Amino acid sequence: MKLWAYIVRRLVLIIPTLVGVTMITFAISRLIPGDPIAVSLGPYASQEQIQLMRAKWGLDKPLYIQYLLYLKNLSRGDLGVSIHSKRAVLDDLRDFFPATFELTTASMLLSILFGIPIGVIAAVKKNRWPDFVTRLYALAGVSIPVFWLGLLLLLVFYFKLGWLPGVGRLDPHVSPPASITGLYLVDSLFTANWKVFFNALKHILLPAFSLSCVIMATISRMTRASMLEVMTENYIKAARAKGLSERTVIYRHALTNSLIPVVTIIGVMYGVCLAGAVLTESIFSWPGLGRYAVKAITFLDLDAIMGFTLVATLIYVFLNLIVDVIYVVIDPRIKY
Amino acid sequence: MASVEDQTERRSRGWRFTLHLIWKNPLMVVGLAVVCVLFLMAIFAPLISPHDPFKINPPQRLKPPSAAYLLGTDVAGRDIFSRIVYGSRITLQIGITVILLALLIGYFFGIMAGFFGGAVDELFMRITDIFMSFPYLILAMGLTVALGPSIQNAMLAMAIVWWPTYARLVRGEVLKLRGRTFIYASKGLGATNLFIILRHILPNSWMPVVVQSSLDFGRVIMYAASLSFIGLGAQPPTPEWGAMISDGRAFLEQAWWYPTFPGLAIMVTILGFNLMGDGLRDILDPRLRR
Amino acid sequence: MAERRVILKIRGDLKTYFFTFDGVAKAVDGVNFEIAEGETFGLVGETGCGKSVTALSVLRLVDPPGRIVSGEILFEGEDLLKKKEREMREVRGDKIGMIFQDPMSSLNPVMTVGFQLKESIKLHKGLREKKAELLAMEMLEQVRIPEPSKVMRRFPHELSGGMQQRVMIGIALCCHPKLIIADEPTTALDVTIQAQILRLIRDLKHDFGSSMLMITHNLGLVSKYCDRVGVMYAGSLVEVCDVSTIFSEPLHPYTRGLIEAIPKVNAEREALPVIPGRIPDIILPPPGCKFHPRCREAGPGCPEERPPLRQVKPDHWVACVNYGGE
Repeated sequence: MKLWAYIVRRLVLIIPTLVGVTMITFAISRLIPGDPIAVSLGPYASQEQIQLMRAKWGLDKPLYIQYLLYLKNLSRGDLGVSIHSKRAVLDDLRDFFPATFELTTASMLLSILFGIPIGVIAAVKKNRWPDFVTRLYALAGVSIPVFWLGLLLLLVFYFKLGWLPGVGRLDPHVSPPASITGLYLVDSLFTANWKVFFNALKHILLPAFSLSCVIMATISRMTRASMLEVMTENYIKAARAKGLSERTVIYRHALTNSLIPVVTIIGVMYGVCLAGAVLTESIFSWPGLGRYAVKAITFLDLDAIMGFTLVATLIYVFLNLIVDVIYVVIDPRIKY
Repeated sequence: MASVEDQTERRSRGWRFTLHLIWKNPLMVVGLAVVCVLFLMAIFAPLISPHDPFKINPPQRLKPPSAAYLLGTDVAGRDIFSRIVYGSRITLQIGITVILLALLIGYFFGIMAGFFGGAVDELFMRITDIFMSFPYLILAMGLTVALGPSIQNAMLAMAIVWWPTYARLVRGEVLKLRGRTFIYASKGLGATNLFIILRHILPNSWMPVVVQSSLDFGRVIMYAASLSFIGLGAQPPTPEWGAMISDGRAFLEQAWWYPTFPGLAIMVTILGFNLMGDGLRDILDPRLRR
Repeated sequence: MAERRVILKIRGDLKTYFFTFDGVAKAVDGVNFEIAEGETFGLVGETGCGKSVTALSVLRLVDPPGRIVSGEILFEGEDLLKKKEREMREVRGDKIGMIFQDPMSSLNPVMTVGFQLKESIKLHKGLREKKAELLAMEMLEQVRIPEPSKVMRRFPHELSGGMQQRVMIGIALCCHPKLIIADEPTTALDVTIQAQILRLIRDLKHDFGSSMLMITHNLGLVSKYCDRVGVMYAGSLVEVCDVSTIFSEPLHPYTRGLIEAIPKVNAEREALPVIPGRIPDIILPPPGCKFHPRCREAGPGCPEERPPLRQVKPDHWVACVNYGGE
């Protein structure tokens, strides 16, 4: 049907952007000052050896040939080898992806579930105390560094109160559930493994909460702004003139319209979530892509970092595409 | 008797209304105050800090807040309060540098694309599209690693990641202005393109850009701190707030003040800039005046 | 003349004020009139004279910073201003139906036409989905929309302006209200469609035995579709009488200015007479009679005291000292 055609069309249009993305990651990886080959061979290597090595890696070829080589490798899934883990970067990323996906998805869900109602209440009770509290929270939320919040939560809930664990996805003595999706919460639910489920839940609570605090702030702000705009529209007055209760007017007539612009920023928020995950995973020792990237930075493991950058960006781009498609579907005024 | 004509000097358009808006928006005043305090701190740092922020003092390491050390000491025995005060200089430096750099590059390309249009514009849109496909922090991270972790490279990387946003904003403004009659009139009178750009486009396009950059200041500080936290950006012994949190992280349990106070400084600073930026936007937004 | 039942009676000087930063805007400043059963009352005036606000006041849909400050609105004998909000909701859409000016923006863009129609029906008649669907389609037929079953599934933006207004009328009238408030129902439509829509409204009103409050700035419409007229100026009524009188014997200088300004086909070629000046500021209106600065019959007493609406003949009220009669 027409929707499939639209999706295909969008996918095709994305290709130049993706190519551009690879160009940039390629450019960045070639940016390093100094000669990486000389460095890796050590200070006693002779010029010949360096030349040989360069030829082997194709580094003596012109830049555009190098780029094509790079693309060829990408298409085979070869993202290089990690200096630190000595494994193919792709394998590393594949291993660490589920943990990050679980964390970011949990955070986004939390943010949406709480952020939207908060924004609605703030808009409806404009200029009264729920509004002020919400706006204050929204301001604080976008001003607080997510890694600092994580540390504070760790300090209070783990070190001082001992209510929640501070490290990893599960307690050390608990083994992960049967791997269906790689998401511990989902897998343990599917296998009715309650012990693991609650353990995983306890572990994800703090990191997901600290990550979502920041995103929730923006979502509630946008929802509020969108609701305020929608409430001034004529059709709201017309809905009231029908005799509908204020509740119906707000939730059925106003909210459905005001959610549409909010959907568009969900994609951007996911990007913020990914970036925040880098920091949060590092604090809570969450074994995901973010922590992998931070470790890679400490070792200046360029292949790993560039691999991470590329994959993270790809996820981001596709997610935005999905959001765009959702947007087009839910707004009946848009033709596709 | 007053008619609508006589009443054009409505109160809602005067400076009194601006004052009224400021009064109704006390948070903006708070933001302004915070920003002022920050600037004063940076300028008078040597006068305000009780200790030398760089002097290592092992016997005093990890001491809790006291009269001598207002916010406690860090792992090398340095006074955290003094380091925070000096850190304000770095914070301001980073913010101003990144934004100015991004503005300069962004303005240039934005005007090129918006004013000349055609193939230049198409190319511009493609390039900015690609840059904006990356999540900000992640691209800045990658760039900084490649350039080599240092505060200058972090600033450069951030400016490179940021300019597309400004460029698009400027391009939008330029497009709006280009169609206005006075531009055609100016051309008809024989003005060169450069003259039009300098005399007409620039002065009329800066307002939304200024608003955007005041809103962005907080974000730049946030990113700078984040980069320093993961080891890019500021290197020891620079008293940059994000780096201080990173240092103090290992001592979270026994010396909670170590990572907490620098983080508080970051938060208050960003909050101040956000409040100020919000207030500025409210005042300058013509729609909200009614 | 047979005394018909009065459906709507606004008395006690209805005042709806807007409390803004610039001052108090007296949008409706002392309005009294009544509408009998089956009658169409036209509320005429220039843009900004308060006629729309009057209509919204009847349904108590005035948004802050506006507030009804004084007056009584008796609908079928009960004062609407004294009702609880819950009771008002039973009146809205059921006993009083409102047709809005711009149908495109008055219909919810993300809901189908059918859904919006059924919403009213289900709310006031308590019907379930199947029955409501039938009734909704019947209503669409009554407003002369072809292929009602197809239109039910459409979204507002997929319909033409005329169709949208018919839907709006369908929603307003689906519960056969006793009073229809039509706020400039055809102003946003093409001229060719306007006549169709107005005839439709008139026919339905007649079929349902309703009364109508028609808000318009177009005296031509008034002459064709209204029984009685009220002329508003800067928030106050300046003249109320039946429709033939307003054209044959207008008394108030403002009304006369309006009538004279209507181009007539068979008149001689002269400059069209125009009322000099502009409408006054509703925050700081002129003292005394609000029209006196533009009035060619103004006398020394006019800036002193605002003349109230006084009955000078059976069914003819004027607010002017020159025609007060004593």
